[in-house]
Amino acid sequence: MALAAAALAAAAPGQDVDWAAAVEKANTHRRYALRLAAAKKIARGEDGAIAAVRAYDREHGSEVIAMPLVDAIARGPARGDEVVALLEHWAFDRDFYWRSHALHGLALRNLPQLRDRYHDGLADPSHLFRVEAARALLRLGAGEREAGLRILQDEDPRARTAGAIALLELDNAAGLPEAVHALGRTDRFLDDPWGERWSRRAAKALVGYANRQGVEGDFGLREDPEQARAALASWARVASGAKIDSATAPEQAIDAAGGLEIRSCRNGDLFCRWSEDGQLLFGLEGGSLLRLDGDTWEELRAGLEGGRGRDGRVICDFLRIQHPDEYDRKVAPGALPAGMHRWLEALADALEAGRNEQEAAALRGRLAQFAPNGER
Amino acid sequence: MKTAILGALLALGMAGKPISGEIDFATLSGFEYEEGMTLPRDVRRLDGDKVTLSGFMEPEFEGEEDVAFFMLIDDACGCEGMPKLNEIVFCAMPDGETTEILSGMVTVEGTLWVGEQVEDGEVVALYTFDVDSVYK
Repeated sequence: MALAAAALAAAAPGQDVDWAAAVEKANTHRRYALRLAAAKKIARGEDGAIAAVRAYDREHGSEVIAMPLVDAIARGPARGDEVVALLEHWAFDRDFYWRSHALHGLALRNLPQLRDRYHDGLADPSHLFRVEAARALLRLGAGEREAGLRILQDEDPRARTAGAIALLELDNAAGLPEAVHALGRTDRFLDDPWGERWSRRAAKALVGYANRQGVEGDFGLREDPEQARAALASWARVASGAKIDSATAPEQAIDAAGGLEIRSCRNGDLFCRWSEDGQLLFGLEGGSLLRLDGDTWEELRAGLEGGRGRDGRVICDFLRIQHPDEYDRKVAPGALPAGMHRWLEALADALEAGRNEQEAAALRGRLAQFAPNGER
Repeated sequence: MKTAILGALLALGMAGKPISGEIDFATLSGFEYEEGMTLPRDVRRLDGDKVTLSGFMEPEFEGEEDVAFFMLIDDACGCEGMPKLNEIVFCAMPDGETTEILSGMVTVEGTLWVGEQVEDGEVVALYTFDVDSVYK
């Protein structure tokens, strides 16, 4: 990517800008950097630019709106009725991929008239949406704070940590216990070291919080992360006056040989790992361990051979089955190959036969999005 | 002489860590980035270094599969909030070459460039990477 001289300065007030062209560029340019530059310019353009975005959305549909544009507008300075209407249009469209990003924008704008929708959002299937709904309520403060604090008891560990980070960003010490707990995370889902990633995020948030409480420096986070995390935890325990435990290395409930992950901003995520001998562990933290009948598992296992690649155009949501060295397929909504669909239905049948109705229902409920001509 | 060498090593401030070689997102994104800031010294000194870095591939344009440019990010789904600029490494394949977007964690080898890149007056990148190889 070439360094470029600034060819265009930010538009001065009153200066005509071709916002329609900027919106087109923000959504369609092949290079991310140029889409991002256009998005940032639009976000500063206030109501004139927002009107162009709404027109583009009406003409082309929300499906083509790029995440950097949504994010730039959400975090941007515009506060008028037009931008609020646009963010609401996106945030409360269950089929819009970036609805959580739009909800973030509404949260930042402190809109008490949306409190009922925020309360509804606390029960959304998407963990990201739940976090942003909680953030919105926490920022409204007063009588809404208690509802927002419920994010700290969320079933999804990512939501709990994100919620704690949101609290610390608001200088609310209620986030300290969960953030300190996250410091010790080393969880993985197959090849994804999600625990360590959230540990780093929690550490950064704790440093920022401590700095705002008058503590200087970063506890040595860059030089010696392990020691820094211990120091942060100690400081937080003193600051909160509470006994806080850091997460310990998760027990290996099974020797995971492969797994299924469904990432869906529409219907919520699903994670399942399996061992070679048919034990299945559902959940990021492995909350549900079960075993399939031997013959059933052998039959399913045999169906996992010889599949690699991608199906459809993955924009955000995807379904992935991996059994390393043998099978690794990533599928976009509406693009689930027939063979994979049959396999997943067979897995759901096997779960039901084993009286694991909850896991079967969770799986079936998410397959429709990925089936051909299924729900978006 | 020994004092001078030790002094040089201490000045680098990274005793126990490789000067180049394997780096990670903990180093690249382990600070709150603001436009125009002076980057941490251990990040600045990576400019122009031959390194390896692991992360998740994302196409620059959603849905692309065979690409000459891609992003390496520290997020499995690419949707856990918008990555900040110090959480994205913009990767370029050698001239005339492309790569498929691989699922899951990958490792890139090549040359890292550090510094704000500007397009149309906007800072749009902090890290760019000339890729020699990509593998799982």
